[in-house]
Amino acid sequence: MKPQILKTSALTKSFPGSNSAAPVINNLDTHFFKGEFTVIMGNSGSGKSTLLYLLSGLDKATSGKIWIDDFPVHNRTEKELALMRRQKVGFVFQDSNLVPNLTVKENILVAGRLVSKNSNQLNKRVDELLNDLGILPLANRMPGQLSGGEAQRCAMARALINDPVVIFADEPTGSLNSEASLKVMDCLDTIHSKGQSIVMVTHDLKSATYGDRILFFRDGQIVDERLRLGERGCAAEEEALFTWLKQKGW
Amino acid sequence: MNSILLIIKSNLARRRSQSITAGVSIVTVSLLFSLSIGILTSIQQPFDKVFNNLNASHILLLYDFRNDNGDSMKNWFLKQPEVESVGNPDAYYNCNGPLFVKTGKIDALVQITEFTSNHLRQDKLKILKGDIKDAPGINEIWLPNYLAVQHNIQVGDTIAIPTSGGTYSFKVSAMVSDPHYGSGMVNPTRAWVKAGSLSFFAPVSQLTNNCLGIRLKSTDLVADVLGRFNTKFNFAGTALQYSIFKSAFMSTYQLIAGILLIFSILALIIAVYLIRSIIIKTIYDYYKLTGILKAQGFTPANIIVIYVTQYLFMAILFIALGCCGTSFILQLIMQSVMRTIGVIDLHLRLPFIFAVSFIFLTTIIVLTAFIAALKTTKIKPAQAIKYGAPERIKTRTRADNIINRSLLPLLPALSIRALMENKKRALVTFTVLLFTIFILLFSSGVTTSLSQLKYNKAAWGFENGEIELVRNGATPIGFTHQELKEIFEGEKGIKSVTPFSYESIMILPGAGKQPVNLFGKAYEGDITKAGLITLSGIYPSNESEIALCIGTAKLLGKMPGDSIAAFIEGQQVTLKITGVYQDISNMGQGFRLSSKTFEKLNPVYSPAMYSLKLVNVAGAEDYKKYLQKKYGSTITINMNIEDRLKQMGIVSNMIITFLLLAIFFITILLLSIWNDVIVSTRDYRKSFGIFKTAGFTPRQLRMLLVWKMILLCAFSLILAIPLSLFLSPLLMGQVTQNFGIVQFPFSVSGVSVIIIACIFFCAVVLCAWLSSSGASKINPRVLLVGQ
Ligand SMILES: Nc1ncnc2c1ncn2[C@@H]1O[C@H](COP(=O)(O)OP(=O)(O)O)[C@@H](O)[C@H]1O
Ligand SMILES: [Mg+2]
Repeated sequence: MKPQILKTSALTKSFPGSNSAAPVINNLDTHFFKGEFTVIMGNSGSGKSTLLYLLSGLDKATSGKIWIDDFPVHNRTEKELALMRRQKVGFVFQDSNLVPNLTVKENILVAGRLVSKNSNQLNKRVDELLNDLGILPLANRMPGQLSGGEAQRCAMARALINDPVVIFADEPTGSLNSEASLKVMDCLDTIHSKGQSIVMVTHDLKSATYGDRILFFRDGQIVDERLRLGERGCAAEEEALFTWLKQKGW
Repeated sequence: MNSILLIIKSNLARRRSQSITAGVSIVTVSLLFSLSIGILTSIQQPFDKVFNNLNASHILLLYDFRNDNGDSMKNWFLKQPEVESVGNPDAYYNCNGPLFVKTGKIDALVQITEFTSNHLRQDKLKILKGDIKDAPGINEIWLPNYLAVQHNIQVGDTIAIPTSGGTYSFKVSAMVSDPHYGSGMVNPTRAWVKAGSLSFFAPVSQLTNNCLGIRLKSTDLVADVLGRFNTKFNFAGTALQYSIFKSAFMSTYQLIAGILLIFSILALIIAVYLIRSIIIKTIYDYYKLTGILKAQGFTPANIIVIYVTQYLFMAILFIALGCCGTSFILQLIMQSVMRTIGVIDLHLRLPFIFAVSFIFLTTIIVLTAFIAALKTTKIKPAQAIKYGAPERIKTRTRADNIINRSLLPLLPALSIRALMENKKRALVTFTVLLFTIFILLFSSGVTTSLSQLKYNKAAWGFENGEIELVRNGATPIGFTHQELKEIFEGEKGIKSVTPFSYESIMILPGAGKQPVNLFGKAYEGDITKAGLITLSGIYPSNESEIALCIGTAKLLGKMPGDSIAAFIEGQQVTLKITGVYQDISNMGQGFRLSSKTFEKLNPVYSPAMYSLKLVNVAGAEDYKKYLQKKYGSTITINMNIEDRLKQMGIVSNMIITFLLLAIFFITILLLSIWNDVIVSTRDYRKSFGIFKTAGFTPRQLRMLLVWKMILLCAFSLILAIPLSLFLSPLLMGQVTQNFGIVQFPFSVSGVSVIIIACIFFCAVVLCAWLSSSGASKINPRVLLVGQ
């Protein structure tokens, strides 16, 4: 059995102000494996983003426990969480969320400089990453001068710069056309093939077929999971996944 | 038009905190502005009012009746058409020594004058405190109110007057308003006793001083009449006139109003910046709305009207508020002024003051709003509705290597990038910072300069001696000038002696111009030995030369090298002007002569005053005691200028005023920093979310904002310190030039500059830190699409 990289125990999150009494995350026990590409699917508003925020230490749970790489994330101060995030977590959003007044390269360097003190080494590492993701020629552009797909790949480079334990991606292809989506997913696949653990939320069936394991999230719980059987991104796999999701009430 | 009003209403309601910020700054500007105009336009009123109510004389002739004949002068004046009435010659006794009261001694030169029944008609006195009586009773004295207030003398106190045969005590029975001696800025001052009572305590041989008052039909006839008088009489006494009484009374208030005006203009500049940035901010916030409005058929002009009307409303409302404050504060100020001088009713020209403030300030505010609102015309509807923000493709800036290379720590590097990103806002904050620190340094510089006066006396126009004393030649055992001078030259503790005397001369500026009566000093020996300096030229060294004070030189239109005709000791002479100097002690008027001029014209002339420069400067107080003990009543040691200033409370009042202004400006500064930080937090909340995700700690997030202020603050300090050193003397020179100081003797203390810079820096950083707490509470959900 593969070692677990991320796990939760009795994880609960409710928003005190919200009118529905039911917690968004309800007593969730789950785990993610090292080197695995896990996909979380679920209806809109079911709490997937909330779950990713909790797992990555961006938000604090109402109760319950989380471990990343055996590091307890629960009961931490904001500062400890921040220090944990810069070392262990990379995050990719639906929006690339690049800092608009920094160049592509600087966006990545800012994250890198939080951890690495050696600027030569860091610069080399950034160039390497940009090259791997196919955006090295764009290094000195401003975010406003990038296409959606290019910006998203830049966001991935930023998430990867500190060699995180796990990368969280919240609908990374949600705003992209199919061509750009494909490129982004290929990049994620490349990263994954080098052993990177990834947890991704998506609505897109094609993107979801890149996952090794697909979790279905509903009513604050992971209600079922499915391992990929066929080829990544192939139509048959997409079809099968769709049928499975429909059964779960997607 | 209806829809425009609706939009304005919602603008004001939704941007409440910004509307309040703009409102507060408009209120302050209008308060300061209308107050300074109010003081400037109202302050002469109480003086003129009291002057006329009391039938005060426009000309006071002080003379020795052995030299000038009072009756013949009176008769001559009575025949002049401009003259309304002439009083009787009043006998007065010049009390040179200090007066003693229970609170200590008063080092003022007091003319103790007999109050005759003539004063019920001309030069009346108004009793402000004490029994209302027609005249002082036996052994009673009436004091000018300002003197009583300054020395905390109450009705019923006793006051002891030094005479040749010991001291003589009076009971203070009333405080009066005496327009001729309405302020501590003029020395001597005057006190009143019962007619005929001078001979109780002074030998008849000393009672030779008389004072004659002449009241004219109008104030602008003074020069005419005096001119004719001087050609007719060889007047050897002193002629005081209306303009001196008035400027002495008004000078302090004009100074205050001038400073207020400078501050209100600074505040106005801040308000304009603030309003401009608020409007531009609103425009961006409502970018989408504006696009929608345009799409609905609003023309750019309609949209400009929205902003302009909104600020017009705000201007009217808040200027009105400021003016309310002014009418209240102005009443208070004027009432306290009136109480010291004794006027009851005063007509403040409030409508005029308010009209000026309204028109001036509203125009500026509306113009600012208009120019700022012109930006909206550039909004393209389609783009605005789609993006909800101006499409700004950022291009690379010059600072782009700042993050790649690890020259700078990450946080300041990012802050520099943020500053470059929004240069305009950075500039606004920078300007506010610069203004505030400038004002703080300016205030501290001016206060330091005043309190350092004693180390820098020459620049203010005073001799640099530590001790100034009067030779009491009239006392039976008194010394002659020659004797006393030799004695002082023989004293080991005295480095140098400069004998001098106060003199008055009449300048005859030539055809068509009125003669000018001047007070000044005659010095024996080298004038520069007393430390005195000139603005241009040199001091006179022989009997036919003169140096003029800057105000007099301007008045006469003369420069070094020119010649003037003058009446001195009853004789007409021509003097060559050798130099021009500055001197605050006599409102910029006066002259300095060599004593040779007087020795030549008056064989019995001898100086009676001495400025002593000591060997041991620090021991001046002890040396004073030593001299007083050794030479007793043959000399009277005057209070030196720094103590006189201290007694008048000028420096401490100045410090309080500046302290209040400093608090006011720091409050504005802190408010705008707070505003800037809050707005930045909101504008850059996505960037903060990203940084948070990337692993910035809460402290680091806040420091991003704080670093911006640290950088701006450091830059403003770097610029403001030299700027204030350079500009403060120039600004103060403008303010004080009416007082005879064109080159302000500015001195700074490094320690106080450092302390102020540190306090300023800490206040800014602390305020930025406290207001940055929002940055650490950013919810990462801002990063979700559509948030
Ligand atoms: N700060 C909050 N306060 C109240 N309710 C919230 C807050 N954040 C999220 N929610 C609610 O939690 C639910 C889950 O949101 P989210 O995790 O974004 O869903 P998903 O990503 O699955 O679409 C939604 O109903 C949302 O309204
Ligand atoms: Mg979501």
